[in-house]
Amino acid sequence: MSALILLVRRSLAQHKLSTAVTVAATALACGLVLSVFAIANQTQSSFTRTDVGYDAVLGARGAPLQLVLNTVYHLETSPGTIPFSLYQTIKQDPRVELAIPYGVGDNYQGFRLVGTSEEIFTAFEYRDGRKLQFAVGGPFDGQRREAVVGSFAAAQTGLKVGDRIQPYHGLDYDPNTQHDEVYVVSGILEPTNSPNDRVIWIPLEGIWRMQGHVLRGAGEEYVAEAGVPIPDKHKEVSAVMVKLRNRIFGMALSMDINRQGDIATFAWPIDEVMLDLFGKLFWFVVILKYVAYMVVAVATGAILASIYNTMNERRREFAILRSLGASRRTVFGAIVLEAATISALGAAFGFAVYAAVLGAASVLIREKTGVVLDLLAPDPILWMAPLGMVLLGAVAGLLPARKAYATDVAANL
Amino acid sequence: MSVLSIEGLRKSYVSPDGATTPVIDIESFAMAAGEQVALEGASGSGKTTFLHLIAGIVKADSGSIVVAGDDITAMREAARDRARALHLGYVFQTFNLLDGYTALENVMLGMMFGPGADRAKARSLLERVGMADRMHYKPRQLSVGQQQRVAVARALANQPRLVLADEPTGNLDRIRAAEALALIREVCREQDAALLLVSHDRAVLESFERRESLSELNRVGSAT
Repeated sequence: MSALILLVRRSLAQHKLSTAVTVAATALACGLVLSVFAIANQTQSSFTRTDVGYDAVLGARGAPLQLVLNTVYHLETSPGTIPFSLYQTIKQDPRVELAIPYGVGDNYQGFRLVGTSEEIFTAFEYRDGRKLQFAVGGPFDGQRREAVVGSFAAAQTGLKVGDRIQPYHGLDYDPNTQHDEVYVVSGILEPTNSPNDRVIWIPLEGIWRMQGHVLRGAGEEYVAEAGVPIPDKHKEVSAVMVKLRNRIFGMALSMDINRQGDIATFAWPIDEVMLDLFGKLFWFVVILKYVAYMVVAVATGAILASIYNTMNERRREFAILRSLGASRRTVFGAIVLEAATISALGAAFGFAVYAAVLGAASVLIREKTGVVLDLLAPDPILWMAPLGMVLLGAVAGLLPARKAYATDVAANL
Repeated sequence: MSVLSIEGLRKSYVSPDGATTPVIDIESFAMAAGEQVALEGASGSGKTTFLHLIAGIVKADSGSIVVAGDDITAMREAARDRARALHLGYVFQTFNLLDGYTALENVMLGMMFGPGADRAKARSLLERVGMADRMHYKPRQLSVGQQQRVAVARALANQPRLVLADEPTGNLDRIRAAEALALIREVCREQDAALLLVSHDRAVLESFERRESLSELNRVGSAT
C-alpha cells in the first residue's frame, strides 16, 4: 500500500464525522447535477423525438402545440373536432402513407379512452419498425364494445383480459359521470415506454355512440341511435395522426391545410412543435442547472473547509511525516488526494441520490405523461459530473495542501 | 570509515525583530560506522538544532555535514528528505508516533518514504523490540515504554547507517530508562547502525565509551 493511500485512509477514518458530512454534501451536489441534466435531457429528447410514429397531426383549428400534446402525448384537452370527411380526404392523399383517426372525450379511472381504427395495431409503428404488441389477448373488434389496454394503464387499474369496464365522461376522472356502455377488455399491450402505455383503445365507433355524445360533423347536432348506422357526414374525429410517405411532403400539406380557412390545423413537424415548447421552458431548465451548480460550489467549499479546519491539529502529523523522510510534495499530494477522495466518494454516493431522484421523477413523469426516464440512458453527464466533482474536490484541496506543504518541521516536532 | 563527518558547521536564527542569533558553531565532529556516541547537552544548548541539522530537517548556514558519504548541506530539500529516509533513523524524546496509526503502520510508514514498505520486516522489528502482541494497537493504547519500543523499531525500519536519539529516555523512570537504553544500543549494534544519543542524564552518558559535550563542541556557548 502506498504511503499516500495509507495517509488518506487514516485521515478520513480519524475525521469520520466531518468526512461523512462532506461526502453527503458532495453526493447531494453530484446527484442533483446528474438528476437535473438527465431529467432535462431525457424529457426533451422524449418529447422532441422524431420517431413517434407520426410526422404530423391534423386537428381542429387551434394551437399546434395543444394538438400535439393532446394526441401524441395524451395530455391537455382536445382543441375540438374536425369532420370525418377531412380524415377521409387526407387518408386518400397520395403523399400520406398512414392516417389514423383519434376520438377522445372519455376516460376510465383517469386513463384516456381513445377511439381509433384497427390500423393502430396493424400499421402504426410507435418507434421505427416497432408495432404495438399484445402481452395478453388481441385487438378489439371494431364492431363490438371491446377495449385494448396499454401496459401502464393495465398495471395501475388492474385490468385483465375479459374484464368489463364502464367508461367515464370527460378526460378527468369523475365517479359521477359514468356511462352506461360496458366494454370488455380484449387485450393488454406490451410496454412501449411511450405515452401509448397510458391509453385504453376502443373502436372509434364506440366514441361516437357513447351515451350523451353529440356529433357535429355536419354542423348540426346528431346523436347516434342503437342499431342505426351513423351517416358519414355526421361523424367527427378529434384528430388524425398522419405519417407521410416522405417528411418533405409536410410542407406542402401544411400550406394547403393551414392557409385554407379556419376548419383545421396541420401540426407539422411534430418534433419541432415540441421543440418550440422546450424553447419556451428553457429558462426554467437553465435556472435549475444554476441551482445545481451553486450546490456544487457549496459542496466544494465544504470539502475545503472540512480539510482546512484540520490543518492546525495536523501540523505535528505533517512534521513527523517529514522527519521520516516524506517530501513536501508528498504531504501536499496527500491532502489533494484526500480532497479528491472525499469528492470521489461523494460522486459515488451521488449516483444513489441520482437513482433516487430519477426514480421518483420517473414515476411522476410516467404517471403524468407516459414518458419513461431511463436511469442508465447514455448521457455524457453521467461521467462528466463525477469527474468534474473529483477535479473540483482536488482543487478545493489545494489551499489546505499549500498549508501542509509549508509546515515548519522543526517547529512542530 | 566515518558515517558522519561535520566540518565548520554554523547555524543562526533570525528573530522577529531582525536580530541574528547564532545557535550552532561546530568546527569538526565525526563518527565511525557502527560507533555509539553520547552527546551531553543541557536544555538550551542547541542539541535539538544540532540533530535537526544532521537529519537535514534544518538547513545549515555554512559548513558541511556528510552522512553515509553524502554531503546533505549541498543537497536540495527533496534530496535531503530522501537521504533522511534512506540513511537516518530518529528517536524523539516524545516518540512522535502518529496517533491514528497502529504500531505496525507507524513502522511501515517509516519504510514507505525510504526503500518501500515491507510488512514482514516491520513485524520482525516489532517482535525484536518485544511488541509482538501489540502490533495492531494504536499509540494511545500503549504504555509510555511500549511507545518507546515502537519508536525504536520505526527508527531502525530502513536499516539506517546512523540513528539519532534525542533524550530517548527523558520520559521514562530510571528502571525503564535503563531497559530502553539497552534496547536501543543493542538493536543499533545488531543492525550495524551508528548511534548518536543526546542526553543530560548522567547515568545514561556514563554508560557510553565515547562521550562528547555539546557545550564544548559548540563555540556559540549557551544557545537555544
